Amino acid sequence: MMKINLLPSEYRKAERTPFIILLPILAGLICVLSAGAVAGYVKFSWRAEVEAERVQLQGQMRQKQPRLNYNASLLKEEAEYKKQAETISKIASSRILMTKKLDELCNLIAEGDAGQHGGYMVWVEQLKTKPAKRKRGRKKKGPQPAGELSFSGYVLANNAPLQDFNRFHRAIKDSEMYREQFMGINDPKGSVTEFTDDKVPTKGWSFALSADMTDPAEIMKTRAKKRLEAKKEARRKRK
Amino acid sequence: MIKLNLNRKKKAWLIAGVSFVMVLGCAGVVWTDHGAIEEEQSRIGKLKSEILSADATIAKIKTVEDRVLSERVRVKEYTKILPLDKDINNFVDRITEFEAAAKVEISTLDDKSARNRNKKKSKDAFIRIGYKMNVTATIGQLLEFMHLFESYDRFVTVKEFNIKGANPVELADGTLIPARHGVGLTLETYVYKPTNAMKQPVKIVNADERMLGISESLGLAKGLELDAYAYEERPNRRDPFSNPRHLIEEQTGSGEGAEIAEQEEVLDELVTEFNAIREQLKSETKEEDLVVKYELSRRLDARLGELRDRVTALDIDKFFSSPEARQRYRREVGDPLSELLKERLGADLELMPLDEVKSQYTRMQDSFDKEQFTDTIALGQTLMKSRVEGMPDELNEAFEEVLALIERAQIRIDFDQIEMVFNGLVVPGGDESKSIVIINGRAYSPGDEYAEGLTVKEVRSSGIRFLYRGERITRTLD
Repeated sequence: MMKINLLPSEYRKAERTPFIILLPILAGLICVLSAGAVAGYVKFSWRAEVEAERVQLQGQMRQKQPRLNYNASLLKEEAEYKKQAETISKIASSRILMTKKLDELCNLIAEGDAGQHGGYMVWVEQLKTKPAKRKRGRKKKGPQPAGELSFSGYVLANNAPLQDFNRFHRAIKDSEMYREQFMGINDPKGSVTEFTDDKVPTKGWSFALSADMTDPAEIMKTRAKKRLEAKKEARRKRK
Repeated sequence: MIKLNLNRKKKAWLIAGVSFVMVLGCAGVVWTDHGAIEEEQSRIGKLKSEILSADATIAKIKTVEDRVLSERVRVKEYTKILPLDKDINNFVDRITEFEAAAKVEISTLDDKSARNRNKKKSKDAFIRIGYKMNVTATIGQLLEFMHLFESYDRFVTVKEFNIKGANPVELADGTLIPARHGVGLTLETYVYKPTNAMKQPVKIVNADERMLGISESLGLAKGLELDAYAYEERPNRRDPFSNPRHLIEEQTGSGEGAEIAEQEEVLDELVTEFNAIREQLKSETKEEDLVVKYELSRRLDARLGELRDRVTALDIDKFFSSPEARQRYRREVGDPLSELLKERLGADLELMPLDEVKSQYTRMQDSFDKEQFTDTIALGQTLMKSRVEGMPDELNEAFEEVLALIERAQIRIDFDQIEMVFNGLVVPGGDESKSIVIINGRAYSPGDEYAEGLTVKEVRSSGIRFLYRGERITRTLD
């Protein structure tokens, strides 16, 4: 049976939103509002708070910047001064005392005249020193020579000048001067010269020697080490 | 307006779909913001650590300032060894002064590098300056000249040099002018030119006052120590750059000894005698008869003793002045005789000349006066190794003096070990002769014994005089 409502529309009973529609509307509304609330909190509270903290910290950092800049310039100046102090120390410790080398060589030759070291008579025709060349690239291991001292001439004798030369060569190698100030000397070689004039000695062994000079900084280090050892020894003896 | 004609079920789905999309939109917003927040938080973390490190850095600024001031003091002191720019202008004057003092003759001088030093644009604070010169000088003059530079109060180094030997010149009247050798010499020094950073240093509050305090407390103001050589002129030493060869009849040597012929005659006698003794020694070894052997041995000892005395006397007199004679004497008599005596009598004839002993004693005395007692002892002990049996009286006396000085140095070292804190001095009624010194909290008058063997002898405001194992030692009160 079919029912027909003939009442005018204002008198008719209002139709309720069907439950099947109301439920998704309510659920959707709750979800959308909750999500909106979360999004609003995140954007306008949390993020704003974090941004404010960052700005505050940046301000703090900006305030400290002048002191930090001051510190940086102090460090730069310190590095510059250190570099200069180091350079000047290197310059000062690189001085080879040429007077000492020449004087001690003359002494050693004079000692031969006096018959020491078995006796020899040396006539030096030429002597020259050559500073070490600064080589670029990788440095060799161990102490490097500071330069070269070379000298040539004759060891004079009436008989067997080679023997006298060998004595001179040995005297150099045994000397305190050589041990302290030189790193090596070339091996003896040369040839005998017989003089044809009326002078004596009548023969001479012509030689050319060259010795590597020890770096003065190394000499100073060795001396300091020796001093320390001597002090220790003296202390030990006293005990 | 579009009107959708949908049934209920479809409407429900539509609503759910729209809601889902809107929630998804919100989630997207949250996701984006969360990312931004995380980024901010990481920035905050970084900033916080930066602030912490900045605080730590700022807290250390005073220490850094002190370090910078120390470095300023150090460089200021170090650079004192280098010539100033104005010194370089006057350096040629200095070279001329040294030329006159050492009596060398400069023939050429190249100071181009000094003159052009300001033309080069260099970032380095130290500018190397070289002087090249050619000089004529005797070996002694050259050594003196180089030594003047090496001991100059500003840093100068002899970078390189070469010597070409020359021979003495004989004048018409027979006068011999010592050889003046040709020398090429390169000197080098450095000038300090502060870099821009050094010219405008960072302003530090109270820098000057603090620098003073730092240099005093750290002892930085002592500057750089340069290695030095104490050159001593040796006028009698032969010039090794002059040809020592001579005509046979010429006399050589310094003139201290006898004539060459006499020297050779004596040397021949010594060699003959020594060789004869050696021959006899061979017979002694072969001799089987004990009585004969004893008699031979006694005679040989006597001969060896005589030879030793003669050799010692000749050594002291520096009889052999000719280099050849000296060499032959050492080779054929001196050294082998010394060896033989060492073997036979257990004695070493290697006598140290009296002058040498005296000169070493003077060095010991110097180090003693400078209160370097360990050095005094070391020098003395080295010297004492040269003391042998049967030395002449003069040498023995010299060695006794050396021994006495070693003992004195040891006493001084032992005295320094005694703990002694001076607390004060009392001068009753201003009479210094009645003064009392307070050491380690106890009062001592003159004559009181402080420790075993250590007596207070005199108390004065200028210092306390002690007598310790026979050694008088004065100590000041500070």
